[in-house]
Parts: sequence; structure tokens; C-alpha cells
Amino acid sequence: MAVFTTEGIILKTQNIGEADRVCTIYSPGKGKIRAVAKGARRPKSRFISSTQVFAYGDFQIFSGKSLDGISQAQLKEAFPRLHDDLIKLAYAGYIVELIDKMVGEGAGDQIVFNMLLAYMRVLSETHDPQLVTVAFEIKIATVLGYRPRLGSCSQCGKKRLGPGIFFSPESGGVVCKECSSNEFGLSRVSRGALRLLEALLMAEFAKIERIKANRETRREIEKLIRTHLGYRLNQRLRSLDFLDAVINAP
Amino acid sequence: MSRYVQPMADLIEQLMRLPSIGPKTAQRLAFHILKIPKENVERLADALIDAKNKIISCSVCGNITEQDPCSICTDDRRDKTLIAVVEESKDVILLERTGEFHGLYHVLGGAISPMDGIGPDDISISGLLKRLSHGTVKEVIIATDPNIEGEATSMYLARLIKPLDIKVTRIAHGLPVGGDLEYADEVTIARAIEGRREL
Repeated sequence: MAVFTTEGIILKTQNIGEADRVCTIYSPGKGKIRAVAKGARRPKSRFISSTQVFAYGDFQIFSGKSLDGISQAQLKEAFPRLHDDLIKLAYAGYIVELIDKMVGEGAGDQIVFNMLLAYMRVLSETHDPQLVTVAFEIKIATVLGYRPRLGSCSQCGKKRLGPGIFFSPESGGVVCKECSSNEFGLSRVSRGALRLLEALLMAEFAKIERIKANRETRREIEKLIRTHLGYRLNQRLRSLDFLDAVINAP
Repeated sequence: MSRYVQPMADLIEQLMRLPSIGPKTAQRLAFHILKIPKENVERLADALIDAKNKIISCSVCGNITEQDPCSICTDDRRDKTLIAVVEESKDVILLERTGEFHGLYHVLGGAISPMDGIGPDDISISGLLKRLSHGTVKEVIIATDPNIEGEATSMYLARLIKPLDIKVTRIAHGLPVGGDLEYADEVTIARAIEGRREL
């Protein structure tokens, strides 16, 4: 029976049986791992807090017949602030679903892992969860090879974009006014929004909350990056509905 | 499944649809059913049909009941200013068993789970808000599970209920009674310290 130990972050949990919990763990070495924590829902279980969504810890995994199992779990960080703040919880819930959908099993990546961990830490402390989240989205898209083209037209390659810049999810970047007529229903983007996205991509996580942006530009970049990621993933993430409900509630 | 005669195969297939029943258990149950007297099987079948036919959910609180509104909602001795919000009907039984709670209940029928696509509209929140609008309720105790879904639900509800000038409380997180501090995990201990009380 093969046993290995890895650090990881819990992306998703699913209850099975009487008191068991199947955890989807993102690990730097092996990517997504699905493993069952036996009895993890019982109040006195040693797995109870180390197998909650967002938990970061060391996990000892053994390979089982149909499903792997967790034999030991040592919690390193639980991110309690993400559990106590509805808005942060909604953002973190969206990001873990995004990672779950974007990476496959066996596709581990230290950079993606470090980035996710950094995001959770910064999100716990920040007063600007919105910008921190958009920064994570553009950074993760870049690392995974989906960086949107922002500096020149994605169709004709023109560098000097005149007035009227549009975003085309199909082309994976901005397009100039002339090329925009090739596609229907493209939305306009402002130069301010493109500058903000570039700034977020370049900035360190911890320094993101120093970046200033007005409400319209924030809305614009949020919409741009979600349309972009949604098109690459070819599905709408379910946690986005909740995020919208929480943010737009009175 | 072709090794079985058709009625047996059907029985095993139906049993396997039940939660936590795998092929082996289904097979064992099916053989057991064949072995026991016919009257017992009929009683089982009748109980299944009866439960399904007679049990409805209370139009007020959402708990399972035989008559509508349920016996808790119509009981005059209960404190009508207090509502405990729970996820499932089985949680009502648990709270009732403690004998410590004398208010009314509201069963949500689940918890908000952003990652599973279960949003606020998928559980019985509007029914709760309607009950609160009558003005008799002074306190809402949110007794959802202490996991991420339960927390999301409690915070969401608190945000909706607080503006109505109704006290919203959350059941305490802490150490299990009869447990050993040594074996408790850090998060639980941290919560227990946070929620300490004066003696």
C-alpha cells in the first residue's frame, strides 16, 4: 500500500456515508488529490478542522481500492477569517472552485500552489477582497497560459490602439475598433481598466490593496477577467452566483 | 446482476438506491427479506408507503409532520418569541431531545453551499422572513452546522434579519462535553477561547 505525505489546501469537500468526508486537496506535487477522511464529520474526530474547505496542512495519503484515504492530517493554517466574513467567504469559495476547474488530477505546480496560499493569506487580512481576487484571477490565468492579451490587438496585432478598444473572449484579448466589427456583442473596455489589470498582474499580492481604483473600473476589470476565464473554462462557475448575491445584496 | 432471477435483481437494484447501501449490503438485505415471514415483509412495505403518503412538511416551519401546521407550531405552551433555525428536520429531533429549547423551529431544508451551486433561493429563507415580519419573534437562534456551509448560511441570514431589529444569535462552537482538551484541534480550541463565559 503506497503512502505519501504532501502539503495541500482543501478545495472541496463532499459528505459520503454516515460520517465520512471526501476531500479534494490541491497539492504542489501531485495536483488535485481526492481522498476520503473517515469519520471526519463526527464531533470528536481528529480530522474535523483539518478537512474543512480552505484548510492548509500536511496530509498523509494512502492509496485505497477505489478512492485514496487520508490517514493523518496536520493543520497548518485554517484561515478562520475567511469563515467569519461572508464576503471573503464568497470570494474564497469562488477561487477554490476556479482552481478545482482549472487544474487536473496529477497536474501539480508549485507556483500555482504558492499563489493560492498567498491569496488565502492576503484575503484573510485585506480590506479590499475585490481587487485581491481580480489580481489572483489575472495572475493565475497568466501562470496557466491563459494570459489575456492587453497591449495590442489580438486579431491584427496592431500596437497603437486608437479610441475604442473592445474585449473579445474568443480572441483571448483586446481588439481594435476595426477588428471588433468581425464579432458581435463585444464589450468596450477603457484604457484605465487595461492599465489597472496590468498593474494588478505586476503587483505583489501584499501590496495590492495600495492600488486605488474607482467603482466603474473595478466592475469593468471584474467583468473582463470573468468573461475571459469563463470562455476558457467553457462553463459558468456555480460559486459566482453566490458571490453576485452577496455583493449585490442591499 | 444477470445471475439473479428477475424479481431478485429488481429488489437488489432498488435497495442499492438507498444511501450507504452498496451491492454487497443490498444482496444481504434482499436474501434476508426472502427468508423472513411474509407478514413482516408486508409490514415493512406498508410502513414505507404509509410514511411516504402521510408525512408532509409543515407549511409554517417546514418540519416533517402528519398534520399541518405541525404539533410544535400549534403548541400554546411554546415560546413564540424564539425561533431556532436548523438545516434539516432531523436537527429538530436533536434539539427536542435536549429538552432545553422551548421555542419554535424553522427548517431550511439545507444550507447555502456556494461551491455546490446551492444558493439562498434554494433553501427556505423567504418563508423564515415572512414569519419574522409578523413582529412576534424577538430572537432567532441560528443552529446550522458549524462547517463552511452552515457558517455561510448563518452569516447570510444574520445580514437579512438584523435590519428587522430582531436579535440574532448563533449556537456556540467549542469543546465536546466529556472530551479531552489534549485531543481537541487548534481551531476548536481557539473558538472555545473566543466564546468563553464568565463563571
